[in-house]
Amino acid sequence: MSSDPLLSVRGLKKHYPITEGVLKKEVGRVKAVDGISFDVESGETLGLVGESGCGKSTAATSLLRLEDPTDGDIVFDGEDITEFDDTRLKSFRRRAQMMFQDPSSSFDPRMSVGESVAEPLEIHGMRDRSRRRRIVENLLERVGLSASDFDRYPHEFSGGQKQRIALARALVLNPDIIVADEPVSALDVSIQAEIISLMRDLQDEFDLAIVFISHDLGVVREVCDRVAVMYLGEIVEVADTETLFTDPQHPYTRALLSSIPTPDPTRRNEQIELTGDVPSPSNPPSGCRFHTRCPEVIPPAEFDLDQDEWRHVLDLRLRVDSGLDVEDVRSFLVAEGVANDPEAVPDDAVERELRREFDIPETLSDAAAETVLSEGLTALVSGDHDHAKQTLDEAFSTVCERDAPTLETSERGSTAACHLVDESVTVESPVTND
Amino acid sequence: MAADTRSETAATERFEDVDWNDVGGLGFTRRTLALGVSSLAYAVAVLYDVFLTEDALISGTNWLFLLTLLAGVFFVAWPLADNRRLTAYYWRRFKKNRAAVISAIYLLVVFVLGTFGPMLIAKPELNVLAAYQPPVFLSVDSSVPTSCVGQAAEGLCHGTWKYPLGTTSDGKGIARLVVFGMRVSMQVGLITMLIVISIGTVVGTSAAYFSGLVDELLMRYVDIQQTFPTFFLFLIVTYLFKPSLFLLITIFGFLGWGGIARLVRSEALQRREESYIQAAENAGASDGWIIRRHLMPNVSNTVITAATLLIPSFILFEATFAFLGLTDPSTPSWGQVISSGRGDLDSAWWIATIPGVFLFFTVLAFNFVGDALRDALDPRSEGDA
Repeated sequence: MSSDPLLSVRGLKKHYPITEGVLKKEVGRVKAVDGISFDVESGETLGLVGESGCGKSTAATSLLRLEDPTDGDIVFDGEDITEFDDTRLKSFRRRAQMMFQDPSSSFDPRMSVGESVAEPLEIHGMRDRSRRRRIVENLLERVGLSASDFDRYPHEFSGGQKQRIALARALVLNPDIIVADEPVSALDVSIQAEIISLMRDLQDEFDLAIVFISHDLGVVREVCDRVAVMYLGEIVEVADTETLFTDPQHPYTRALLSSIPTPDPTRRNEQIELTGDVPSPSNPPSGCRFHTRCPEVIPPAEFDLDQDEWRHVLDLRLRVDSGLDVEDVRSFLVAEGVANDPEAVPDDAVERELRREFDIPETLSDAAAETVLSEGLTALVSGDHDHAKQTLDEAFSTVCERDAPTLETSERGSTAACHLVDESVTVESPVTND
Repeated sequence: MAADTRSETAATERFEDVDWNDVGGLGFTRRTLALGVSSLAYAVAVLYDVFLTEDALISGTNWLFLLTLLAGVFFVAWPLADNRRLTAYYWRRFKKNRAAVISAIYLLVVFVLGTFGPMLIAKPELNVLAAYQPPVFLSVDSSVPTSCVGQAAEGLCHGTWKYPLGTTSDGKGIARLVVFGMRVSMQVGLITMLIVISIGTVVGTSAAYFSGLVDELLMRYVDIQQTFPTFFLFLIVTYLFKPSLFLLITIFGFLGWGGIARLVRSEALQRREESYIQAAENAGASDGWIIRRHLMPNVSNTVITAATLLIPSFILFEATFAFLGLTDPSTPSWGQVISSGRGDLDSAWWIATIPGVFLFFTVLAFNFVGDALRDALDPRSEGDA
């Protein structure tokens, strides 16, 4: 990082209000993007990866101000674009372009593809039709189509060809940066490779910066220089591609990487399975947003629990917090034939069923933890939900839930937002609250 | 790959060589240029007619009709001629419906006759001596007409080529009345349709594109307008002023666009979500540009189909009012002739029947054409072509 980066995003937020009633009273907010920061150097490809719905596309549209961000600064070439008026925004649009995921809907079916590619030129004041045509015909040839395709309509092209045309449209204004939102995920694998190599060639030729949004880690590894991993509207890890793939710091990154299929059957990866549902971005978990699903969530210092055990105990606790209905368990046991009516189901059967449901062993490896858990379960089964909740909450709490980790740079050069990283300790060791 | 396809000839120009501080130049298309010139000429002529001449050159209705024809040339005929391949594609699909092709030919004849006929032939005149003449090749009892213009033989009066479709009770030639009636029907149908779809499309696309408050205001206004009894308004206005075709057209045109606006809005709402709209925004296009260049063309199929089905309803409205005697009696329209012949149905059946047949087939033909256009243009049926 010698000079200022081409694009610098700081604390970008995009919240969508949830409104109710005629008066549009705001009752909540979907925090699609909640404070992300990253830099893009010119000529660099930054990957933005994450599950569906983690806010990648919203990040793309808000950083180009296609939607106005709720908060944060976006500095492009030394100027904050969030403060641009219409005129300056228009000249910014000339320098920052976007490629869309769905090649079939990103072209106006009523315009020939040539007109579509030429449209940005016309919008930015090039009124000479024949000049526009010359430029676009030349450009179409350079992305691997022919000049005569100018007059053809989008439905006459395949998905791969349309993405070539989309690339031409993104290039035609000679931008400095292209934000590509899942540009190849709608394509066959063989076509993906062609488009990717075309993007690379053009990037080298024009020193383009690319923000490459994808959920496909294989493609990201191919294309990107650096990768930012997003989870639930936040960036959890940023690193050089090689570092990220060989030495992922954040447990979420590790889980994502383990999901890449390996072609070699003898080198089968250890699959990390994420438990729990993806939380809703309208009500994200406290502390580290990943703690509800994290396989490496930090156990409380006073217990000596096996990591798997601890994860399951925490799952149970979080379920109790969000309201676990013991009556449902009883009804289920009745259906299983344990007793004839819900009232008659013995309490210890319910406890056993709960342990089975959450994969918790009959007795925990740590005696102190077992005592608390039994007390909590007994209270829960006897109907004293509040007491159960309190007991479990007090004993089984984790730093991951209390404190939001900040992005810390490790000695290997990757930056991750995880309490495990700043401590650089093994999971089993006690962690003190900083 | 990019490097080896690059062929440097004088005619090629590369995007990276464009100096964006120095673009411009005037590049109007011929269509834009012609449209500009004709609109200007039209505006000047209307202003001249309104302010500088004592007697109107042509009536208000005819000015509106001229405007409709201009709009037809520039927004239908010219684009169709420009995009021959697309036109051919639509034509291939349209011609599958044979009834619609015949209807279209019939409507073309009616349109041409109605537009140019009244300029070439004289207005039918009162001629009591020639009343109740039967159509040519037909005959009627000699007691029916006052005097027989054609051959009278064996107590029968035969029709004559002088009045090919016979005459009315006051001796007006029905053939001429039918041609003049064609003009009235075409004017009412086409002008009202133009007004309705212009306002409806602008309101509908704007509501869908801007959404929020704009959408709310526009659509609630449409709700109110839709509850308005246009028929009674027309009655009151004709009672207060001299009834005229111009009045009928403007009242139905300016109060009848609510349905189209709703239709266009719902269609445009879907189109708005397509990523080509976002692509245009990303290229820096203004709201007006996106509505004009992307939303409107993409809802045009819906609009054209709806318009074709609206025309017959306006024609029927006019015929109804004319039949009830609520229109200008000096404007010869089909409804009026039908009304005038209804008392003589047993002796001179042709007076009411012939214009009735034309009215029937015109309305039917528009419906056929509308159905076929919907099938040909509707993108939802594109797959089974």
